[in-house]
This record gives sequence, C-alpha cells and structure tokens, in this order.
Amino acid sequence: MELNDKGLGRDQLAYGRVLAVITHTGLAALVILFGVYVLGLLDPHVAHHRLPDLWKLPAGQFLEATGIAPGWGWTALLHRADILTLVGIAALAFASVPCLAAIMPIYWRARRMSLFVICALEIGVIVLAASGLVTGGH
Amino acid sequence: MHTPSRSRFLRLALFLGLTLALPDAFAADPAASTFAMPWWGWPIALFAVCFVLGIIAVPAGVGGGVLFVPIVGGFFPFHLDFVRGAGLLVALASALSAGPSLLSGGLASLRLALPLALVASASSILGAMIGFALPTQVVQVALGVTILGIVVLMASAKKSEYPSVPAPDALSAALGMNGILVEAGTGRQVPWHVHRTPQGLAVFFVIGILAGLFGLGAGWANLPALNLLMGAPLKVSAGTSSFILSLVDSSAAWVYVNKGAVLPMIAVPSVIGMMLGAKIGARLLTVLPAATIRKLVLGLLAFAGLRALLKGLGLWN
Repeated sequence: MELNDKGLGRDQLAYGRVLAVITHTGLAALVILFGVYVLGLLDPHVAHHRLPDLWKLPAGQFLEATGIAPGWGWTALLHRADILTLVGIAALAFASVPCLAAIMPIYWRARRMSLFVICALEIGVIVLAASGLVTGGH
Repeated sequence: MHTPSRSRFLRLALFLGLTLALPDAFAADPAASTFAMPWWGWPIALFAVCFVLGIIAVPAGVGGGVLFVPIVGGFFPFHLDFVRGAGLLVALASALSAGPSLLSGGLASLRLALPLALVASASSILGAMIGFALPTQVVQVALGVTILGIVVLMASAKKSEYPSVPAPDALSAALGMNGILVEAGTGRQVPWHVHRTPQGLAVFFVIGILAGLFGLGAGWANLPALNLLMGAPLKVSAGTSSFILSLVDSSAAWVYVNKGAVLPMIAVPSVIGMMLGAKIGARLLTVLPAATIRKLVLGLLAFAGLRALLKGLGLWN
C-alpha cells in the first residue's frame, strides 16, 4: 500500500477524515440536545427533581422505577428530552462503524484481505453489542 | 519562595480539593443529598470536578476515564453503574475527538491498532456483562484493587523511546503492523515494526475486560503493552493507545446503553467538563509543573482507590 511523505497510508487518512466529521457532528448534537434537556425546553421522561432519588439505584432498578424498557426500549420515548439526549451518545458509540466501512474498499482493492476481514469483524462486534442480543438487552 | 507556576499549582490543588470535598460533604448522608443540594447542583459540581480532572490529566499523562470512575464513584452519590457508564463515555469522547489529529499526524497507527482493538472490543463486552452480573460491592472492591494496582504500575513502569525489535514476528508482518515515524523536529524518518504479537493480543484481551468491567478507559495499560511488550516507539504507542480506546469503548458503551446505565445528566456534563479541561490542560502544558502534578494525581488515585476498596468492604460508606 502506498505511503505519503509522512509515512501514512490512504486507509489511515480516510479513516481520520470520516472520524473527524462524525465526531464533531456527534459532539455538537450531544451538547445541543443536552442543552434542550437541562434547560427544560422539552419535557423529560424523568422529571429533573426526581433524579437525586433515582441515580442511587442500580441501573436495572432505575429502568423499572422509570418504566423504560431495557435494550432499544428507549427509542420509543424519543419525544422526551432526556431520552433524546441518548441519540447524541448513541452517535458517538456508533462513530467507528462508518469509519471502518470507509476503509474496507481500500483494503479490498489493495488485496489486504486480512485487514478487510478484521474491519468487518470489528463492525460485527460493535453491531452485536449495540443489538443487545448478547448483553441481555432484550 | 513561591514561583508563579508553583503558586498556580497550589491554587489548582486547593480548587481540586474543594471541588472534591464539597459534593462528598453533601453526599455523606444519603438523605442529605436529596435535600441539601438541588438537582441542578450535581451536574454543575460534576462539570467542575471533571474540568479540573481534565486540566491535570494532560500534564500527568493519564486518561480522563481512569481518574473519573474512582473519584466520582467515591465522592458523588451516583450508583456505580452510572459512574462506570459515564466513565466509558468520557474515555470514548476523548479518544474519538483526539483520533483524527493522531491519525493524520502519524502519531497513531491504524494497522497496529485494528487487530488489537478487535480482540479488546470483543472482550470489553464480556467485561461489561461481568460487571452487571456481579454484586456492586464486589465490583467496588475489584475497582479499588485495580486502581491501587494502576497506581503501582504508573509509578514504576519504564518507557522506551525506540525499543529494540530485532525482527517482526510472523503475525505482525502478515497484518502489516509496521510503519514510519517522522520526527517532528528533525524530519528524520524512523521505520518501526513490532514483535510478540500473540502475547500482545492476549494482553489486550485482558485490557478489554477491565475497560468494560470498570469503564476506566485503558490507556494506562495500552501504552506499556504497545511500547514495552510489543516494541512500538513511545510516540506511536501513546497515540495508538488513545485511538484503540475509541474502538474498545464503543462496544462496551453499547452494553451500558442497553442496560440503562448511561444517564445523560451524569454523562454529558462529565464529557463536556473533561474535554474542555483537557484543552486548557494542553495549553498549560508548558506552565504547569508536570512532575509535581503527576505525583498529585497518583496520590489522588491512590486515595480514590483506597476509598473504593473500603467502600466495597463496607468500612467507609
């Protein structure tokens, strides 16, 4: 694989470019959505004043007390400000997937099949974790 | 006689002590935490503490995640599940935002990172699941022991600018885990490669479990594994260590989201505070006395680790 004058390959540069766009967008979304939540511009699912009593509980009991389903159950409550903020968090947790997808064609064309497979497996691991299938989320 | 930098450092230490002590005073009695401080006081206190942690993390050469979990877990009234979830988010956001410049500047190696990150991100799911399966007290004790171990590791671990690697092993050669480091000052090109890749993969499997279990981030372990075990140059090890976290913490973070252990009111002020603090810390790098701050941070970590251990054992609640 060809390297530039800094010793960097096209794969590394492409990954960095995609990561920059997604991370900046995700962080901006996170800050804006949190602003909406904390300033009370949109009603939260869990009222602000209840939080000090609830954040002492284990996560499982917190979900029971607030009526939020585990796994992807939170997506049913996206009209609530606190739950909407999770979209920004999910964007950050998913940021690596498009970056990996962006470099897979480079490895395919360079016939670097081992790296192509590693990228595919890494995407599979993140998607598997996100699915909740192995983590008891559903 | 106090020099200006020493005076600034003392003020910083005083502010850090106050910001840590104040939430603890309110949280000492669970009932008091409900009535003594309004809900909005907690994210503000969290932001302030994380801002200071972000400032001192940079000159101390540690990641924010490893400071966040024991300190916030020990001195704030949040359940450890939410602290671990927020700790992962803090480490993830920091790693993601540093990633593009590390990659484009050649300070992180994508091909060195990918195989190690794959193993560690898979095992981080396992670590996160173990963390939710174990009783909180057990996780708390294990966290305390781990933090105290990290303090010993950080205080004693050596670093090597350019480790001697006579020849790459077959696996690293096959996966292209090599590169060229261009020194910023001289422009000198230093080719590098790594060895002991199977051992490195085994170590990263364990690192992934710890990262998922405690939400610590894992730069403290990645760096010596890459530099001392596998023989990557120090600068490449430091950058790649941070980049690996962006992949490892992604999969673990999803487990915490699925389990309902990511609370935006805790996670977001922590992320913002830590990232802003780290930017200030990077600018103050030449002003702050790095060696002294590193000692302060190690002392703080030892105290927080002891607190977690005693809290888990029911000796200091």
